[in-house]
This record gives sequence, structure tokens and C-alpha cells, in this order.
Amino acid sequence: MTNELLRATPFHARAAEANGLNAWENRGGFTLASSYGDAHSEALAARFGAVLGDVSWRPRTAIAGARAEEFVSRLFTRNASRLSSGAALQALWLNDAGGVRGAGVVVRMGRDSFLLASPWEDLTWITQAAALYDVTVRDVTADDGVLALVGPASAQVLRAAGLDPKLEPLSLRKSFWRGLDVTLSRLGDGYELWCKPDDALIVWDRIVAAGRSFALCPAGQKALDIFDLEGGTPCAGRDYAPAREGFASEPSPQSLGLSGLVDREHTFNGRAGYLADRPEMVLAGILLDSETPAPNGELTRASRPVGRSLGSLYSPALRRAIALAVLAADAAAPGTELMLDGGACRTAALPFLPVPAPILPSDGDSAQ
Amino acid sequence: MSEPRDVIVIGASPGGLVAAAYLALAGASVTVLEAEAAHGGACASRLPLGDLTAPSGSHTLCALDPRVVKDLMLVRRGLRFAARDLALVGLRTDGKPLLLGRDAHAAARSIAPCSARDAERFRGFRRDHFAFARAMRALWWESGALSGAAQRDELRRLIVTSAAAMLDAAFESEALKATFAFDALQDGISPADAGSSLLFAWRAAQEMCGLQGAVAIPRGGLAAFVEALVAAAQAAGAEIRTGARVARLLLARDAVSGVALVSGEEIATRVVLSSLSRRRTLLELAPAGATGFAAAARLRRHTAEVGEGKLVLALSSAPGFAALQPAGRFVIVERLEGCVAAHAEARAGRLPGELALEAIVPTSVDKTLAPVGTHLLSVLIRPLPVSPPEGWTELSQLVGKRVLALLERHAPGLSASVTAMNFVEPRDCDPQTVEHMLAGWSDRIATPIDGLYLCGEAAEPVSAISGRAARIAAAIVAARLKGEAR
Repeated sequence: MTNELLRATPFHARAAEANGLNAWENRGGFTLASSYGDAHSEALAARFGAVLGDVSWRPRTAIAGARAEEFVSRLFTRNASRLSSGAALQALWLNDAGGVRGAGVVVRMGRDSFLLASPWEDLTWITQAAALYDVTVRDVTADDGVLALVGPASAQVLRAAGLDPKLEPLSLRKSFWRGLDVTLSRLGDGYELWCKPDDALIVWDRIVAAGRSFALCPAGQKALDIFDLEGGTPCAGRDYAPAREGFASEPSPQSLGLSGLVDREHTFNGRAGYLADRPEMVLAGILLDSETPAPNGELTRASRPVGRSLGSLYSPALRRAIALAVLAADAAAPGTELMLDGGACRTAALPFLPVPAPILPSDGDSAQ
Repeated sequence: MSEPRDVIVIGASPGGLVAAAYLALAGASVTVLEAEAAHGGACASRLPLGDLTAPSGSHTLCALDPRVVKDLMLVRRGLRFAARDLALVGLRTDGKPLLLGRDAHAAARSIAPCSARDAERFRGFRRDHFAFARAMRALWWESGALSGAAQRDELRRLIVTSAAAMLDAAFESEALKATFAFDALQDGISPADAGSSLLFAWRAAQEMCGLQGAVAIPRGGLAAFVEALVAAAQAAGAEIRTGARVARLLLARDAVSGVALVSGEEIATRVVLSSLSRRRTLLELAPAGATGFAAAARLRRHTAEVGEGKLVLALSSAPGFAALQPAGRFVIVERLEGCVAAHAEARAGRLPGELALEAIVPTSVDKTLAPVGTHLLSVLIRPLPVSPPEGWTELSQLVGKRVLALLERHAPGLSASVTAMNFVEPRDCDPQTVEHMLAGWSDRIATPIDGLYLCGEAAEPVSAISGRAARIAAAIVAARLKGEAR
């Protein structure tokens, strides 16, 4: 992948206009703005107003075929075959020995088609497994442009733009929006608006225009990462290294504190490895007494190791560095004083800050 | 749904029958399901040859487990041997044949014209090699560990030694090296592969009729051996059904719950032993995904590329070389280097320029196989591509011609005496590796599916008719059934 040329997302032209500092970064082979000005103020805007972010780079994999339901049921740690069309669930996928290969959101698109949206791409593995079921697997990341709308004001922005923001979390709805075919979904921290690449600039402009009165600003990837981490969801590739080999048993869901995404009664690949007796770790938040992030560090209590930190960033909303961590159960109670790489810190319940619920405008005060 | 059984065995090959007999003796209700009309799998005499028939698989026994013979009382059930110890005979175009029988002095005399040094060394080489092979029985006969520091050092050395390097180090005579090379071309492993020298050790570790490293032919052919096993299994109480092809395994979650036959019949069981290859069992019979994605992908990716073919001939007169040694296996290999090159060619899907042959004349030791005046010649051909791009229907004619021409050089007039011939193309079996040879028995026998075990040649360290994997698999299953009953 490193030898491939960087691709531009469908929103690139608008992102380039807005990106005054020319701060770009590579995400999954796409060129994206890391910030449009100040990442910290963008992260704060996401918490208190609304921001617009380009998430077209997040890998999306289409799974389709007559036996897609059977395959999806076996692949994921929760039973996605019971989903109704347009509904989604969060799940992991494991290798044969129960090592976590990735985590993502599975959406049912139709009777025989599913979509996996996850920040971690694992196309080779899924394709190889799908061959057993004669199911086709396709990387559809470049098929759509996806804009994320995050923040408490995001629903009002959508309403102002003429889209109905009433949508359950973990679901997806197709609509026809003033001449454009778009899909509105709530798979992550806020709304996602999907459109054809050719319509992308129109969609950007319409949202920006509708968002003016709500102080909507574009947010770069750094700000989205901060927002994501404050929400407390660990992310493969960023917060932990997933299993690469087909028979590796680490990292297990237990060691990442992700047992909540596994249905023990469901039959999935790697179940025997998952059920094997393993120490159950707890996923917790860490508030550092410092502004310097400390990812992948060792957490100790009275010089005794009790866990390790995963991803860590500075949180402008909390005005300190925060980290996700996996801890032994006895050290995970919120407020426990620990040491992380020689610096003092304490545990906190997840999420650090709740994902702000969109304030749904009542039908009367719509901008339409 | 038919009446539930404790154990279902797929395939009435020797492995399946041995496992069924042991489990029935242990008190389990056992049904053997054989797809074909005859018992025995590749041992059944089903290959038409004029008025006669011949088995399509191996033509000798070199690895039968002595404990199976004893426990299943096979001698009482009619197992007799027409030849107990076939002498290895290397046929040469460039000199006198090498007669490498059990008598070390005679063998040395036969080697002397090629190389005096090799003649001197031969006896010591065989003694040391046999001693090491006996130590390896701890691994290859039971689930044990190798004892003795010297033996462990030797094993460590052989794991990284190729068969070709081992022969090159031991002998200088090209004729002697070439004669031994045939045995190293087993299981699709190249004589140049690291660890292929263990194939010699494995062969030498076997015992037939009480003789170490012997090769024997049962009286009445391998079909008679199968009949003795059928009698043993039935006497123990196992049910054997022919014409019952298994369509798929039924699973409840990831554990075996039964089998479904092609006829639509379903039989409930908690334990299935398969005498088929690992690949066929897990990819064709088990439902998709039950094996595990990575394991299934590995099985699909690693297919056997090189195998052995067989040519069986009915002759009106005995081939000339049969007079050299009535009970002999006649090996025709030009050069050791030729075998290495041939393996590479077969691996690339081409018919090798040099073929290695092992011919036996079963009728010269067993008069019951054919009417007087008719002789059988059975020839194993190695190495051959398992799936050549042009397909075997076309290639088999060419191989037949090539093999006949090779035989004709060593037995002039043979082609003229052929009354019937038939060719068996290489079987698609599990690709073998050195790791597989040295894996524990339970690793070879168990599968990722709870309640599914392998008991056939796929579970042996080196694929051969042995019954040892079946005996050990039966012991594992019997212990499991006993544990469940408690």
C-alpha cells in the first residue's frame, strides 16, 4: 500500500480551499487535512457546536452473494444475520485462534448484501474466508464520498439543509435530497452523509451553507481522533495492533476489554479460542496529570504492573492528556491512582465525555 | 433419522476398518460407511486388467502395525504373506544389477564391482541407520519422546539433511545411490528437500513379519488383507455398509452431530472418524467455515503437486528380471540427480524427463492371483504431476509408452508379451511436509471440529497402509466415549 500513489477524496477540492495551513496527512492511502487551522479548537467545536469532517477514507467493504448471510454470521462475533435491512451492529472479527483481527460496524444493505465499515482494512482475510462461501467481497471505499457531521448542533444543520435528522443510532437510510441520491447514517460518533463522488462538492457546499448559522466548521483528522478517543472506543491500528497471522491468539477480545462485543452463544470463527480461559481485562480511561500523551505505556500501582495504555492524545475539553487502557479488574475502579511511564495518572470511567446527543429540533422551528 | 451410533467411520479402507474394529472391541456401536460397492478403498481389486483385476493403490505392505496384527488376530482371520521380505534390486543399464537383500555379505558382494569402498561401508551404514530408526519408533509407533542424547543429535541432523545429501555422504557409487533414491520420492517430497532423509528413517523404523525394514506381499494380494480386516471388524461387532456415500457432516455449533448420506439418510453420532484425506474431510464434507478460516485457506492453498502413478500389466511370460530374484522389488532409477530434477519438473506440472520405477511381479510369489501362464507386473511410477495442465487422459498414454520403453530396456521382449495394461493416475492427497512427519499423533489425528478425527493414511507420519493412526485414533475416541459415559 505504501507504494501506491496517494488518492484524493471526492471532497479534496473543498478541503484544499479550506486548508489554509496546508497540513495534510495520509489515511488509508488518501490525502486528508490533518487540521484546517487549530486541531484543538476543532475538537472543541465538535463537542459544543458542529463540525464537518471528511471520512471518505474509512475502509468500507461490501459483502454480497447468495450465502452472504451465512458467511457474515460466521465471520463476526455477533449475529449480524438477524439484522433487518438498514440496521447495523458493532462487532469484532477474529482469526482461528481467537485473536482480534478488527472491529467495525456491520450494516445490512439488503437480503444478500452487507457492508462492513471499520477504520481498519482487512480485505485479504475477509476475501479468503468468503471464498469458502462463494461470496464476493469488494472494497467500496472509493465508491462514495462520506462526510461526518459531529456535534450537538449536527441535527439542526441537517434540518437546515433539508434532510430529516430523525434516525436511530446504528442505522442507515437512503434518501433523495434535492436532486441527489444520498444516504444518511449514524454508524459512528455523529451523522454520516454518503454521496456519489461526482455529487461530493455540491453536498459539501450545501452542508456548509446550511451550517453557517450554526458556526459549522470543517474539522481535520486530528480533531476527529480526539473526539473519538474522548468517546472511549478503541480502534484497531490506532489504539492496538490487531492479529495479522491466521493462528495468533493475541490480542484476544478479553485482553483488550472488548468482550462486550462478543456474543458467547453465537457461533463465529475463533469461538473455541475465545472461550478458552483467559484473564479478563477491563477497558478503562486514564486521565494523565500531564499534557503529554503516553501511548503504549506500562501502568503500575505500587510498582506492580496492572495493565498498559493503548492510544493516548491531548484532550482540549479535559485540558489534559488522556489514554485508553486495559487494566486488571482490581485496578480499574474509577479514581484509582496509578503510574503511567513514571507519571501520575488516575483511572476514569468510559467514555471520558459522552458523545453529545444531537439536539433534535422540534418540527415547528425547522429552517425549511 | 436412522438409529444413532456411538461412532461413524467414513471409508472402509484399512485405516477405517482397523479403527472400527478397535472401537467395536471397546464396546462402542460402530458403523463404517463405504461409498463404493467393495471394501478396501485403494486396496480393493477394482482395476480391470483383461480378465483379471488389480488394486489401484500400493502393491506392497511395508508399514503394517504389528500390534494391529496381534490385537485384531489377523493371522487367525486369514492374513498370510506370499513374500515376507522383498529384496531391493537395482536394475542397471550400465552394469550388473545390485541385489540388496537382507544378507549383508551378499549385498556387499553385489556392490563391490561398483565401488569397493561402498561395499565395505554398506553394512555399517545399515546397522547405524537401523539402530537410529528403532529409536524413532518412540515417536512413530507411539506418542513418546526420543530418548538418548546421541539419537536426538542424529534427529536434529536429519531434520535439516536432504535424502540426496545423506546418500551422497554415505556412498560414492552412483548406482547404489540411485537404487535407494526411489524410496525418497515418497509423498511428493523432493529428495533435495531438507528433512527428506527422514523418509529413509521412517521406512527403516517399520517392521513387517518381525523383520525390520521389510517389504511384504500378502497372499491373495491386498484385497485378501482387507478381507481379514473386514472379518476382524465384523467379529468385533462393527456394522459395515457399502454403497453408502457420505454427503456431508452435520454439526451442532462446532461439534459433530451426525452424517448425511447422498441417499438423504441421516445418522446421528457424536464422533466421526474419517479415513479420507484431511483436505477432503474438512473442505468437502464439513460445512464451510467450521474448519476455521485460516485453516481452510491453508488447506485450499496447499495442494499436493507431485504424486505417484501406477501401471499394471498382464503378461503372457514373466519379465526377464524376475529370474534375478523371485521375491524382489526391482527399482529402475538412472541417477540420483535425475530424481531431483524430475521432482522439480513434476512440481511444475510437466512430465519428468527421467522417471523412477519400482516393479514387482506378484505372480512369481503368489500363484493364486492369475491363471497359469499369465503374469502380473505392477509398476509404481514416481514422480508425476498430480494435475498437469493438459489433463491426465492425454498424458496417461504417454506415460504408459515411456514406462514400457524403460521396462523393455531391462527386460527385452516385455512389450510383446503384454496382454492387458491399465494406468492409475496420481491421487490427490494431502501434501506432506517434514513437520507433519514429526508432529504428535494427536495433532495428525485431531481436526478443528470437535468429534471429528482422521484415521487413514492422512494421519500417518508418511502416507502408507499401516493401521497405526487408526489404532491410536480409536484409543483417543474410546477414552473420550468412556469419559462421556461417566
